[in-house]
Amino acid sequence: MDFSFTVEQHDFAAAVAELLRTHCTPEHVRATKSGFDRDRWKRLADIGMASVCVPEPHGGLGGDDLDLLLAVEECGSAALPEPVVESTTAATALGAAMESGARDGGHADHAVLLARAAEGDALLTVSAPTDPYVAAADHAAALLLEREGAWYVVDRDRAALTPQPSVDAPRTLFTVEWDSDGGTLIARGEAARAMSAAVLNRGALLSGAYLLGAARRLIEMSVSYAKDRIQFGRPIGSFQAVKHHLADAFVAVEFARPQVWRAGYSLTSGAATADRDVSAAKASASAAAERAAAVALQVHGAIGYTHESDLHLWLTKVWALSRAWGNAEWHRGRVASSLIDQRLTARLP
Amino acid sequence: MDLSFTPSEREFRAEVRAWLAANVPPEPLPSFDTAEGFRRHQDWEALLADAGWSVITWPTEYGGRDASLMEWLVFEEEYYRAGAPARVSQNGIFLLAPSLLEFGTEEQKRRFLPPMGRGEEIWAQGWSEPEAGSDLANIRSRAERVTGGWRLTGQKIWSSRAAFGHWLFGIFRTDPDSRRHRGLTYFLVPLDAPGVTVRGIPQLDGLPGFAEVFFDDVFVPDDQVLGEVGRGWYVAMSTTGSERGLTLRSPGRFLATADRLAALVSDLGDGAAPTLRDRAAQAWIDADAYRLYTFHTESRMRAGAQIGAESSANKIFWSELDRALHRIALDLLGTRGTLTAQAPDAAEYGRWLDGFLFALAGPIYGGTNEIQRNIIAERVLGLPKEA
Ligand SMILES: Cc1cc2nc3c(=O)[nH]c(=O)nc-3n(C[C@H](O)[C@H](O)[C@H](O)COP(=O)(O)OP(=O)(O)OC[C@H]3O[C@@H](n4cnc5c(N)ncnc54)[C@H](O)[C@@H]3O)c2cc1C
Repeated sequence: MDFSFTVEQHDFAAAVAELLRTHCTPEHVRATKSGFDRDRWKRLADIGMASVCVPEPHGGLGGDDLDLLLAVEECGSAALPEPVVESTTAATALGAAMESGARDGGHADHAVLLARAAEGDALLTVSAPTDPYVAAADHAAALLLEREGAWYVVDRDRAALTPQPSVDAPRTLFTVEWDSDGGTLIARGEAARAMSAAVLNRGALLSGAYLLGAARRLIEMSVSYAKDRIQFGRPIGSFQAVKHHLADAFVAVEFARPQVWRAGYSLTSGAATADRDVSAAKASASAAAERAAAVALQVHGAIGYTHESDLHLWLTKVWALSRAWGNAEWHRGRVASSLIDQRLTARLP
Repeated sequence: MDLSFTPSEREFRAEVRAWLAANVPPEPLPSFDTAEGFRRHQDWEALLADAGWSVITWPTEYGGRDASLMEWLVFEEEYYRAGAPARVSQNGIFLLAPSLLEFGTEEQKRRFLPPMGRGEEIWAQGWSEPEAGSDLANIRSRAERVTGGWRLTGQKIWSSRAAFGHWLFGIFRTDPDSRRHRGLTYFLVPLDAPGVTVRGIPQLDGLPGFAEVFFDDVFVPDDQVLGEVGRGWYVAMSTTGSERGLTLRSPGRFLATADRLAALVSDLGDGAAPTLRDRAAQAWIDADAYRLYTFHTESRMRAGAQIGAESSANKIFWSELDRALHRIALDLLGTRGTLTAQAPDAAEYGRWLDGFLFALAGPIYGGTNEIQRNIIAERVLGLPKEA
């Protein structure tokens, strides 16, 4: 039993964090009105962010979820606007479909598409099996969409997008209409079912990792605000009510983190309990992040309730991602059916 | 990252499991807060000790097996899964022993550890006093220097297992001019020493799970001082770290309870309201999180990290988890959940009520959860002290 990440995994996350410190400040996030900054995405791709999980033959690094988790947490900590969860999930799914040979034509095009995605020159997105809207469809070159038990790659230009503006404006959402002959089939039958499961699990896992970062940052911002803000002649952080709110948020995040990591391990190692492990992780991460967001807003008072403070850049991310890819209740339901309906309790070898 | 167990850990687990399967009493023992139950639990400790399972992390010379922390976590998972008896010796083996091993003289270790590990001498913790609860540094019980030792005077309270136990480890003020954390000394005191009076106090279940202990000029020889004179707080805090952190409440305990809760919901079928099903899933997820957090901590410790104030996060998490698990079970059972184990209808459900009452104390002992939140806020998050 070894819960540690490799030096390379730590170094990669540190490199992502470093890049984001320079190119994803709150000012940058505010300036990214469209939700996508090609230059920043390209820079991230240059250090490997878009290619970690793409198979080597397709221009990727052939890594796995564990290689990404720490880096995605850093993205959350920076409130990165670019759709790192969806694009990674889409690229991984397409790569896997091509690797397994579960494809019906269009292979050459997809190879080019995947290679461009790995380079950061094209964006991919994917529909979450739990959600009615597709994120970042407007920035994507192609969309991975599911229809009647089969998966397709659909050129963005061949899909009709209806924007559905949401509270997290940079995370653009769309209803997508498309003709089946506008898409290329990549999986059907058993392969499509497996792809749906993998897409859902990966999206939930990565959004969980992103939420950990956002929650961590919300707590850091609130702690530093609580040290500075003076009321009744002393810093508000000396008041016990404020301390206890922050301590509770901290505890929730600290305990959610190893669960997210374990979910990554279970997915990577193809554990029989992977679905349940991912659901436990997303339920905990969503709940912890919601708690951190609520506490952060309360600790900031009115200034937190404005667009003048940077806080909202993280609050909106939490509100969106804690619900996307299955909210806490949805995932608890999945844990419950495994535990209670199937009586799969024991986790001991 | 490799979250599988090694072959040797698996082998170890199989050995523990087999022994427990053959030896755990089929019927639960009577509560160790009764005279008979106390004795029966001591017998169980002797059986465990004979097989080398009572204190596996201790050095072999004192009755242990030099087991690693990971082996201990595995042992605990199996122990609670098997429904083995509660540890009547827990204050000694989990709280005093780490301090004895760290601060004790060789003679003290040889004198005290083996009978502690065999359950022959049961220890009680004597820290709290009527005026020193959360504010533990407000200790007033004192010790006066006399030839060859000390004379103890004062009162301890809420001392678990003291009603039937044999020894007490406690902190007393040895420097009359000292204040707060200074001038305290850690003593080991036999509860049958002349001048000691023990009065059991019934807990919420009506049984004397703790006691108040009066000291009236009790002589304690020098070789029953643990650590340096005047450094009692420091020695005591090493024990508190164990109490809040890993060693007192291992994940195996909550994992087993969470699995039993899930089985209870399954058994009730449509009798379990959807909201309770959801709460049970949440509690199970939290038990799982506690387990993973502990494994993560174990990895960090193996890599050389020291656990400090984070152990307060641990204490909040397990105590609230335990309370939630039992509360949900009682809610699932409705009025039946309020029956004591003696009620004919209670059947096996009576254990949930006992567990519930016990779980309610978790947020109080070992430093209340409010105190733990203060510690996290100030020492982990770095917020300013209260004015
Ligand atoms: C089942 C059980 C077993 C125990 N076993 C032992 C034992 O074996 N040995 C032993 O020495 N002690 C034992 N204790 C005692 C335990 O350590 C104390 O109960 C605990 O430290 C709290 O002290 P208190 O009960 O005096 O409560 P108080 O300190 O009076 O606290 C009452 C309430 O006020 C709150 N409060 C106090 N100070 C603050 C503050 N600064 N900030 C915010 N809130 C505050 C507390 O959190 C609590 O909610 C046991 C207690 C229980 C319930």
